[in-house]
Order: sequence, then structure tokens, then C-alpha cells
Amino acid sequence: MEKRSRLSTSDAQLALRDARRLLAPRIAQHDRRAFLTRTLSLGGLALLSGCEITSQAGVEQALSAVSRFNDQVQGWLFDPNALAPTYPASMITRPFPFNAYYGVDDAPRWTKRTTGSRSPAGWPTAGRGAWPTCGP
Amino acid sequence: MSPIHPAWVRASHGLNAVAVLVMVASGWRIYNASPLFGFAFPEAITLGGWLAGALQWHFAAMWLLAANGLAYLALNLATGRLFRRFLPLSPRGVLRDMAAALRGRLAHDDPRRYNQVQRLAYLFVMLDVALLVVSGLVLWKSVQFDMLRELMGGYEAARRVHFAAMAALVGFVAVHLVMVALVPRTLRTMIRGS
Repeated sequence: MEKRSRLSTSDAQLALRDARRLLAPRIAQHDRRAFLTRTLSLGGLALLSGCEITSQAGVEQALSAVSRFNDQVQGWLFDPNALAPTYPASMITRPFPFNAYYGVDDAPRWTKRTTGSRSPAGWPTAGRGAWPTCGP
Repeated sequence: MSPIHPAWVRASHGLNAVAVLVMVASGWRIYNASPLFGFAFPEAITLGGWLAGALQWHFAAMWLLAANGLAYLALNLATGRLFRRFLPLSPRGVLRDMAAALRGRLAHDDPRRYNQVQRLAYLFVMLDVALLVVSGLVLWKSVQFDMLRELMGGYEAARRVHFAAMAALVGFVAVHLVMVALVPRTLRTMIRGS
């Protein structure tokens, strides 16, 4: 036995239109939600992949390129007549801040060896004055 | 219907977000190399790895921040959007909208109209970024920008100004993100325009 719709064709079309009207906002809502989730997960992915980005070759190249550009700008900005301000000796920080990537206690200390007989071939042997001095 | 945010606003907002993220994260690493106060930022949330790397990031993203900021201001002025969207602004209006917001009664029915608190916040952050750029110029080339340096009260004072302006910017971003989470459609309008 065939099961027939109790609605006439025009009624069915009206019912369908009503149903679509009711569902449309929900679909739009779903779209928005999907849009948000997708955007947010894309952002999260970008952050995750951001670990250790400096060490990637392309990034390093780009940063060096900008750095060279900055050198040019700094050269262009440079005014040989502009002087740094001077401060009274009372403003000196004590102990003087040691500016390096290692601590002041780890600073290398150089010792000079100037005995001619122990110098490798080709090194200056003309006495103490010929050696470069480094360190504190 | 025209988009709520024109394409140039959306593009400049996106670029600015990237620039601010890089500037703040690398700036924290630079701060850690010589902390002004008795704390350092956790290394995990900084960018650059070490001082020189962070400086490279900072001095690269500064061009994006400045160029994008200038383009934004120029277009905002040229199109009159600055005056349409952010003005008029009155202390009384701010207090009224703030009170309404705290009681949960601030209407968000028209996304084309900023309430007084939004206007204040957005104008504030524009000025704050301008202050960051100016104090940053002093820190970058303090000898060459000697007039700016004296206006800031010297190099050390400029460091404090730069830090305080950063803190204010980060505070704005935190509130901004909470607001976007509360009214998610604002994120959609800032990305898609409608």
C-alpha cells in the first residue's frame, strides 16, 4: 500500500519554505561557529609551529636582510656632530655593570707568554710589546 | 551593504596584531637582558632566544608596526573614519557606558557604532602605540634623537616610558581579547568584514 502525503503540493511547498526559514539561522550559526573554530585552530597552529622560528634558515636570512637595511638607515641618521650627553662621575653605577653574555666572574683572563723560545714558528718574538693585550 | 570594517582596516588590524605580538615578545627578551625592575619574563614566552636575536626581531617588526600604523592613521584621517567612529567622546558618556557595561546592560545592537568606552579604549591605544614608537626611537638612536630624548627626560626615563606604554598595551590587548571572546561576532567582522 502506498503511503501518500496528506499535504497538497502547494501546501507541501509552503511547509518546506517555512522549514527552510526556521533552519537557515541555525545553519548560519553553524557556519559562524565553524569559521571561528577554523580560524582559532589556524592561529593555534601558527603559534605551535612558531617554536624555534629564529633558527630556521629563511627566517635568519630575512632578519639579516632587515638588519642590513637598518645599518643603512642608521648610517643615514648618523650625524657626526651629535654628541652623547655627559654625566657627572657621581652618576656612575658601582659596581659598574658588566656588559656581556657571560657574567663578570666568567670573563676570560689572558696571560701573556713572551719567552721567545716557546713561540711557535711565525709568531712575533720581538718581546712583550709585540703581543696584543686583551681582557681586564 | 558596505562591510562593517572596510578592507584596509581589516588588513591593517591583522598586520598590527602580528607586529605587536613580535614586538612585545622580543621586547620582553630584550628587557630580560637588563631588567628595569626586580623580575624577568619567562623565556618560554619571549622571542629571539638571546639578546642579539631578540634585537633583530624587534628592529625588523618595528618597520611593520610603524609603516602599518602610519598608513592606518593616514587612511583614517583621509576617509574621515577617525572622526565618524571615535568622536564625539565625553567623560560623562564614558562613565554612563561604563556603568551600563558593568550592569550588563550595554547594548551591542549596532556594530557600526562604537560606545563611549570603546572609543576611549581605541583612541587610547592609538596614542599608546604612538608613545611606544617615540620612546622606542629614543632607545634605538638616543644620540641622534637628542631632542626627543630630552623630552622623555633622558635615556633611563625613556626606558621607563617604553616599559609603561608596553604594559598599557598588553593590558589593552588582554581586555580586548576578553571582549572579543564575549562577543565573538566582532572577530568575524574584523576578519571577513560583515
